Parts: sequence; structure tokens; C-alpha cells
Amino acid sequence: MAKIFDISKIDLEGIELAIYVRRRVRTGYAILVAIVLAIVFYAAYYTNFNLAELERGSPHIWKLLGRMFPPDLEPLSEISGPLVETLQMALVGTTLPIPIAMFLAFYAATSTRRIHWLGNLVRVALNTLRTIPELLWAMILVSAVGLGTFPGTLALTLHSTGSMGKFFYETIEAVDEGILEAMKSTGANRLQIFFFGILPTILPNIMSVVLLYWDYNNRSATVLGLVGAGGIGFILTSAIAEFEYQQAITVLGVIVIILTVIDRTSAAARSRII
Amino acid sequence: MARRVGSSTFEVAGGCAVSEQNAGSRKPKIIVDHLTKSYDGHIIAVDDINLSIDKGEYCILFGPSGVGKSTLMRHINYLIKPTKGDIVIDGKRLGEMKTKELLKQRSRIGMIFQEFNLVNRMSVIMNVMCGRLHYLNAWRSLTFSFTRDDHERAIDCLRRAGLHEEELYFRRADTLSGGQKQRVAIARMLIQEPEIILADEPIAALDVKNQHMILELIGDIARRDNITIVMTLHHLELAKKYASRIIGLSEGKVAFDGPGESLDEAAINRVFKMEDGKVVGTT
Ligand SMILES: Nc1ncnc2c1ncn2[C@@H]1O[C@H](COP(=O)(O)OP(=O)(O)OP(=O)(O)O)[C@@H](O)[C@H]1O
Ligand SMILES: [Mg+2]
Repeated sequence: MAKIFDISKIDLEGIELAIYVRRRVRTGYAILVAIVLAIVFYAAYYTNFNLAELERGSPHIWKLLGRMFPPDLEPLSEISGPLVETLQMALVGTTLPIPIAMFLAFYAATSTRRIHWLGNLVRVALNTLRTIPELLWAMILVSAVGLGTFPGTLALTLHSTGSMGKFFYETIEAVDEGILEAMKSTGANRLQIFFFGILPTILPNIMSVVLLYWDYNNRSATVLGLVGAGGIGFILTSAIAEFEYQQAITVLGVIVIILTVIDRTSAAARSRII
Repeated sequence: MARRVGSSTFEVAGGCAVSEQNAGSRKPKIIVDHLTKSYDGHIIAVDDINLSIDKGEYCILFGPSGVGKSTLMRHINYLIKPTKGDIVIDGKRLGEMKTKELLKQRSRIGMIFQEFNLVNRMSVIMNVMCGRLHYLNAWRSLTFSFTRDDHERAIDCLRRAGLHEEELYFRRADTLSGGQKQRVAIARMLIQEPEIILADEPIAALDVKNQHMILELIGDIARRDNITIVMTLHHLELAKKYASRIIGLSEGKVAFDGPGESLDEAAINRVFKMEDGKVVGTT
């Protein structure tokens, strides 16, 4: 809150000034909170979010749940193919972006880039890749290259490249300037400075974020089937579309179990790195 | 690399105020030639400074905080590029060098820092071998593989820097004490076989005992190979003890330049812009 008001224009001194400024800042925060709350209530009202509606709808929800039980285990026999497919999409969609994002981050980070405008261009590109959700990428790519796992994997790759790239260049920029100076002063070239000064320093952060995105991409990969981009999501959607709720709950159960295992694995690995 | 503005002939550079000290056949090692550096166009950190430093001199820069000592020093290996003027080393202008030449020049200038600036997650010996990066080819760089010769040199330099316990060499750099870290940094600088050593507050983060030991060490190293030293130091007592020449900066300009003995209270007051206030060794 540095420039909100000009201290030199206030006709107070010492402790009086300090108390006055404190009060002004506090009032500022109070107003900010009030505004945010007002916006949230407004949004809730216009999206028809009300608890009464939930109450009225609850019998239907119970009925739907009732129709899901007992689960029909039949899909289990045909689920393994799409399941493995989903995991593979996530794996490729996480590993392929690593070198691409790293390469782009090298040109984007203020501490490693040499051409200013190129760096800004790369940043804009990364941000665009990141801003478009993978489901949207999948929709676009399915219409471009057809149904299947290829557009799905590509969608994950594009979105992850944007997200990882942004994270990578921010991490590179956070590397202590002194280390770069020390490397530079030995007569090392830019690539050597990157490999010997920056990479070892940021490696734990990178591994942690990659694991996070692996987890995230597994979750994303399960819904890509909704738009025909391969994976287990397709089986789930067709079960629901055909009102086979007892089959749907089985598929859903498998998805939850697999994702939980992956989530735990990723979390355990990350806690070991940091 | 663009050619820098500034006096274009060598005569002008050599003809600066200090050059009468080294008249005759001796060529200065470092010439600071009308060096000016301004940040954002208005903060002038270094203001038209001229200096001539001979081979083997032990120069200490002092002056109030923010006066431009670090900025001046970082011009000598072109970590910072001048706004105007240039640095001349062994008669060659850094501003006229191509990137490759500049890297070669840098490889012969060792540098140590207040905060040591080691790569924390790398082993001690790897940190030292980073001083050889200039000689490491692209393939070896990509695979992080230094040569056997690099390893031998590194161990030799660690010993010369006073680290004899071999157990230390393979530990991660961030597990060392401050004094040990600075010795590793000195070893990294030694492996460069430097002709010039730049040291920016090399002892500010150390305790009194280590301060003396590190300054002794740097002095011994420099004397053995006749290395030129440019160092910034806040402790004037230590500066007087070790330096052969002391340069005081005030508001981006040279306000004192002479041997340690001639640095009296009046000169210190002039540099720190104090009337007859208390003079302390540190700011
Ligand atoms: N990257 C930068 N951008 C803008 N201004 C800078 C930058 N680096 C240094 N300066 C300014 O240049 C001036 C000189 O800084 P410098 O670090 O050289 O001082 P110093 O004499 O080394 O001080 P100290 O004794 O505190 O280390 C200061 O006013 C500083 O704020
Ligand atoms: Mg400084």
C-alpha cells in the first residue's frame, strides 16, 4: 500500500502520524474485504446458488445414487486398456513439456535472456498456452487431428508446457544473482552458467513441480475422454449417456482409487525432495 | 559487443593523473579510463574515474556505502558494462573485445565475494572445478564431466587455500562453515590461475580470526605469483596493514589515492565527508 496516500501532505508528526497511517491502512483493508464479499454474494445470487434449491433437489440426488447401486462390475473387463491409455497420456504429457519448457524458460528469464523482446514474446506464448485449459485444447485439437489419444496427449503437453515454463522462468529468476556473477567471472559461457550455476540450484523445485503436474495431468487425462480425446473418460461418459449408472459407478470407483494412489505417490516423492 | 564511448586513443588513457608514478618502460596492468556508470540515466554510481594499477599492486578501495566501490570493481571483469569510458587490461580495451575474447580475459581474473557465492547443492570439489569452466568443452559441460587434470588441480588448489581434510572435498558446499566456504571460493579463484584478483568485501561475513587468516592467505597467494589485487574493504585498520595502495571513493570520484601510511584522519574525513566527527573503521 505504498502510494495510496501521500504522507508528506498529512499535517501530523511522530506517533500521531504513525497511528493515523495505521488507521488509514486498516480502514483500507476493511473496505477491500467488504467489496470482495459483495462481489461473492452478487455472483452467488446470479448463478442461482442457493441452499433451498439444493434441499429441493436432494431427493433426486438420492434417487440417482440409489440407481448406481449395486455396482455392475462388468466394465472391469474392458477398462484396463483405456486406463493404461490414460496413464500413458499423462506420463507423456508431463515429461515431454520438461525439456521444451526449460528451453523456453532460458530465453524468457530476465537473468538468462539476451534478447529482450524475444524473452517477452516467449512469456506471452507461455502464458497463452497456460491460460487455455487442457479440455479446451483437446476440443480444438480433436477437431483438427481427429479423435484419439494423440490430441489428448498434445493438449496436456501444450497446457503443461505453458504452466511449467512460467514456473521454470520464475524459479530461474529467483536464483541468487551472486551465484551467476561468480560463474560469469570465471569466464564461463551462458550455457555453462545455466548448467553449473542455475540447474543444480533449481533442481529440487523443478522435480517438485514436475511431480505436481504429473498428478494434475492424470486427473486431467481422465476427463479428456469427454471430448473424444481418448482415455477412460470416454467409458464413463458413454455409461452415463446410456443411463448405465451401475456401470458408471464402477468406472468412477476405479478412477478415484487410481488417482488417490497417484496423488499419494506424488506427495510422498515431493516431501522427500524438499 | 558494441564499442563503448570514451577516449579512443591509448595515449589519453595512459595520460591520466596517476600515470606519472609508473613512468618509464613499465606498463600498467589495469587502466581505468574515464570510467562512468549511470543507472537509469540519472543515478551516477561511478563518475569519470581514472586509475592506473601496476602489476602486483595490492589495491584496497574504501568509502561510504553506496559510493560505487562494487560497481567500479565489477567493471574490471566487465560484469558491468560502462556507460562511458573503458577498462584497459595489458593494453587491451575490454570494450573492443568480442564475446570470446572477453570470456578468455575473464578466465584470468579471479573474483571472490562477501557471500562466497558457492553453488550450495554442489560438492566442494565441483564448486572449485567451476573455475575451469572456460576450458571445458561443450560435450563435457553438458555431461558435467571435468577431466582428471581438473580434479588434480582442484585438490591442489583446495590444499593451497588451507583445506586439507579430504573428507570435506565431497561434502555439499552448504554444509561448510563461513571460513571454509571462503576458502573454497578462494580455491575456485586459484584454479583460474588468475593474473588479477577482485575481492568484494571478502571478510565481511567472517569472524575476527578468520578475517585475518583470509587476508593473510590472499596476500600470500598474490605475492607468490605477483598477482594484482583490487579489493573493497570497510576495515581501514586492516586495509592499512595489508594494502600497498589505498583508494578512497567519495560520490563516485577518487578522493584519496596513496600508500597506507599516508591515509591520515584528514583524508578519511574527506572521503567520508565528516567535519571532525568520530572516525570508525567500519561504516
Ligand atoms: N543494478 C543497479 N541498478 C540501479 N542502481 C544500482 C544498481 N547497482 C548499484 N546501484 C547504485 O549504484 C550506487 C553504487 O552502488 P555500489 O554497490 O557500487 O556501492 P558500494 O560502494 O559497493 O556500497 P557498499 O559499501 O554498501 O557495498 C548505489 O547508489 C546503488 O544504489
Ligand atoms: Mg559493495
